Formats: sequence, structure tokens, C-alpha cells
Amino acid sequence: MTALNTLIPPERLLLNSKAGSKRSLLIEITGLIPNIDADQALEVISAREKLGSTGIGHGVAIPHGRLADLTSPIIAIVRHMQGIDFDSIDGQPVHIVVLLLAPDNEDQAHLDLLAHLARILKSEQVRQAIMQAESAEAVSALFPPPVRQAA
Amino acid sequence: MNVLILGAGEVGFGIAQRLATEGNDVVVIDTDAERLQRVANTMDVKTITGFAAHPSVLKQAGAANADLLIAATTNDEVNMLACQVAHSLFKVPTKMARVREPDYVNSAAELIGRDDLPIDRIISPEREAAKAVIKRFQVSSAMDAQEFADGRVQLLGLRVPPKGALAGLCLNGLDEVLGALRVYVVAHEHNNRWRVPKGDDVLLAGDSIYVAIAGKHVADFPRLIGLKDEMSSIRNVLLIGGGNVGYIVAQELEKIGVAPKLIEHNRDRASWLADRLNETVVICGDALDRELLEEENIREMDDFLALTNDDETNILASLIAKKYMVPHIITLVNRAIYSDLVREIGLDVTVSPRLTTVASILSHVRTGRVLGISSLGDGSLEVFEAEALETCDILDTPLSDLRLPPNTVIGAVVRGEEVIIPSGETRIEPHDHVLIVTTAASTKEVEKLFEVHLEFF
Repeated sequence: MTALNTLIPPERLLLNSKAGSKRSLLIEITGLIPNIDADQALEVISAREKLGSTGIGHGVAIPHGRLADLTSPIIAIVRHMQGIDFDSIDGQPVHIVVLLLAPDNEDQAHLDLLAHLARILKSEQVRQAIMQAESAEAVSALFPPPVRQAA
Repeated sequence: MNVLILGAGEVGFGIAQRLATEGNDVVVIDTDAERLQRVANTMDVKTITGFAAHPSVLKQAGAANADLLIAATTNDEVNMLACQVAHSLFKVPTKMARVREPDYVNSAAELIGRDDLPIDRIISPEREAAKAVIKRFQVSSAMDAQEFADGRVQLLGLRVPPKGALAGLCLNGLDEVLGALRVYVVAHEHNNRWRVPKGDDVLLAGDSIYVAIAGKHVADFPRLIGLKDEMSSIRNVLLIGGGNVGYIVAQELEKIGVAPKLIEHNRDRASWLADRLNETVVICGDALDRELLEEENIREMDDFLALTNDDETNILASLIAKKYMVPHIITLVNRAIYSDLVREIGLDVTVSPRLTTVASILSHVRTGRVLGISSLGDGSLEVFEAEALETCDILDTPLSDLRLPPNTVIGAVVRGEEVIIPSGETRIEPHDHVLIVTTAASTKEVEKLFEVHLEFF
């Protein structure tokens, strides 16, 4: 159990990506996650991107997909200062990429988590804070876990 | 999308041009600096001079960032090797290779795959051209048929017969004529112009149309509109050129019950063909020899197919056939520069391996759940078959309220085994297969209708 109250521990953050394309950024972000088959993860999220870009506008993208051997959802962030072409719906370059990989079960829980991330990133204040953050910890703190309802 | 194109020949050039105008970042590699200069002068792409399969060259071209590699050099082995290098060293996700040699193509199913040659798609220009020739042949015999959703739906192309229920009919009145058998007219040609029709269009005798129809109704339809079953009549076909294209076309013709005459120049090749073709009469001789053509009854021919490797021979032979009043002539033309020219000298039906190959490659580049795309009529209209996934824009709205791009119609919806010929009240449900006809200008917008939203997991 992690002591930090965040969805994204600092070691899964990369603040100054130098990736030259959407694809190399996706390779970079899957590389942040330990103990997974990075090639397979890349294949899964690329296949999802092909059905429609997860670039939701305002410089944000949330690529996601399912991996059979995960036990719980896992999230990583890459920040790209110059911005990268992501085929976003608004056609603008993407600066903040949040990767969500989920186990191959529990549909609703993953959707809720995805919605939670999208909600956080909808705030212009949060986006600015991410772009201005000087440390990974500062970005981590912006992503608290969703408040859980008692079952 | 970042695209790497190897080879700046006719095919590479055509694909680069189309993908660059669609806004992709394209890099073209070729060994011939002069040819690359021609590419750089024509379109907005990056060019690199070098040997296409070399790791250093691919690296320089940005293979690490490429989403798609299209190996279209003139050399099969280079193309296949380049795909391997791109896969092993640069993890390029999608790779296509042009492969001419039938020996490779025939074993393609076992040769390519995740653990074999890492090629997602083998493209054979000769095969594509042969397919196109057969398609055009069938159109000229009054009928073209294209299958979608595993044959559950067909697009039937036909000419409106002079004395029949369709001539003079307004499309809105179609249901009254056909009764329970429902079809949707998705394309209409009048005076050589193809359009996506509107409800108040009137069909005239001699016009061509495409209708979307459930596969099980295909057999009843021609009779219902007073069309004689022309497919069954035996056609006299003269084919010149027994190369890869000619050989495949002859084989396909035999399959649909036509026994063509085939003139091949090379004696060894002619006897090779004679050994392999059962119904075809193979003649060794010069296709431009009028005496030979007359001897083979060119006057009696219904179809003349000029399919040699040589554009000039094909054009000249077709002109000779035209002089003998052969009603249907198909001319194979490789070089882009001739394509417009031949139309001006009255050869209307040309097939270009380059164009058909470009179209085939492009159909694999589309995003979303687009399962197939092909062209209708003279190529100005395109048909999409796409699966509507959860969250995409086309779902749940009655079609009459759905804002489709200009000149776009939904011809059929396949839901499981059921075929729905849509009306204004029809709503698309998740996992329906939708058959859409549109113009080249609207294809991007049609694709957008099938893109999933963020919450698609």
C-alpha cells in the first residue's frame, strides 16, 4: 500500500518528454510502468487510438486499454512542453498525456476511473498547475483517488 | 500520422501524393535522387536518398516515429526485408509490402504473420489490376456486384432497361414498384456523371445505378425490374497479353464460365499458359497483327481486354479493336501520363495497376472500425462498410435527424443476420454494420461518424 494519497506516484511521471511523435510518446509512457509487457501494452493502446483519438482537447490525452495480467488499474503521466500532434478532436497539440491501463474485468470501475481523470483534467487550473509544476510530487498531488462510496 | 514510403515509382508516388494531401507527415525513400526531386517538386513530403532496407537509412527517415511503412520499391525482396528491419529495429506498428512475384504471393498466408515475416498486408499490383479488370468486365455486361458483410448485403450495379418498371421512375416511388422487396439506390449515373441520388431524382432508360439489396433478394430483383438475365449469355472475349495480369484474368473468366481467346507474344510463355488454362484458347502471336486479329474473329468479339506489360501496345491494340467496333474495350495503362490521354482518344475504360494499388493500400490506412472501402462507378464515389461501436456519433439518432456529410447515404444496415434497408426512422445500434456511399470529398467526415469517444474502453 502506498502511503501517498495519489493515483499516480512520482516514479510514474515524466515531466520533460522529448518524444518526436505520438507513437514514440506512447512507447515512452508505457515504459514508465514496471512489470508489464510494454510491447503488448503499446499494441493495446495503439489499437484503441485507431478507433478514435483519446486526445480530448485543451492539450490533454488519456490513452487507455486493458491488459489481462494486471491486478489493479495503473496510471502514468507524461508532460511534453512543446506539445505533440495527437490527432486530438480540437486539432491542437497535446501537452499532458495520462495513460490508464486496467485489468481485463470490472467494466464500470474502469469507466469511473477514466471519468474521474477526465474530470480532474477538465479544470484549466489543474492543467496550468501541471504545466508549471517543477517536481513530479507536485503533479502527483493533483491526482487524488476518487472518493469511494461504501459498498 | 507519420508514414514512410519506400520507392518513388508510380505506386509510391501515387500513395505519397494522396496521403500528403490528406495531411499526413510523409517521408519518401528512393535510391534515385532525380526521381525524388520530382516527388519533392510535386508535393509536401520529406525525401531521403538511400537504400530502402538499410537500418541507417530507415533510422534517418524517422522509422522510430513512423505509424505506417509502405514498401513499394520495384524489388520484392527489398520490400519484404525492409518490413523485417522496420519491425525488429524500429517497432513500426503497421507494415505493407508490394510483392509482384506470384511464387511469393501464392504462399502469402503461410509466409506472413506475427512470428513469420512481419508484414501486415501484401499488396500485389497485378492481382489488384486483375481484380479491377474483372470488375469492369462485369459492369460492361450490365451487372456489377459487390458483396458486403459476408454477402448478406450486395451492391448491384445495373443499367436502367428501356422497357421496365424503373425507366421514368422517381426514386420516391420505388417502393410502390418493388412492393415488399426493398432496395436503396445509392448511386446514379446520367450522362457519364456519377452522383449520390436524392429522393426526387428520376431514373431514365440508359442510366446506370447501384442499389443496396439483401443478398437473399438478389436473384429476384433483375426480373422484377424487367432486366433480362444478361449474365448467362455467353460472351466472346479476346484478351491480349499473358503476363501476370492476363493469366489471373483468364483464370477468373474461366471461373465465371467465359472461355476467352488469349494472344501472347512469347512462345515459351504461351505454351506455359496453354498448360495451365483449361478453357482458354491460347494463341502465340503479335497482338498488333491485323491479319491475326481478323483470323481470330475480332469483329465478333463482345469484349477486348488489352493487358500486356506495354502501355503503348495496349493503347494501339485497343484502338484497332475500336476500329473493328468491339463494344467493350478495357485497356491496361500503367503510366500516369497516359491515363488522361487515352480518354481523349476515345478509350473510355482503362485500368491502372497504380491507381488500383493505391486505392487498396489506402483502404487499409483508414481509422476507426472501417472494415472495407471500395469505389463505385468511375471511381468518384466510395463505399464504406463500417462497424458502429459504442459511443460513436452515428448511434441512436433516427436517420432523418442524423447530420450526414454532403452527398452521403446509408444504403443498408446489417444487424446480426438481419439486413435492414433503412428509412428515416431507422436508428443505428452498437455493432451494426453500416454500408455508406459518399464522395471522395466527404470520406474524412464519414470516418469521423465512426470514431469512438473517450469513454470507449
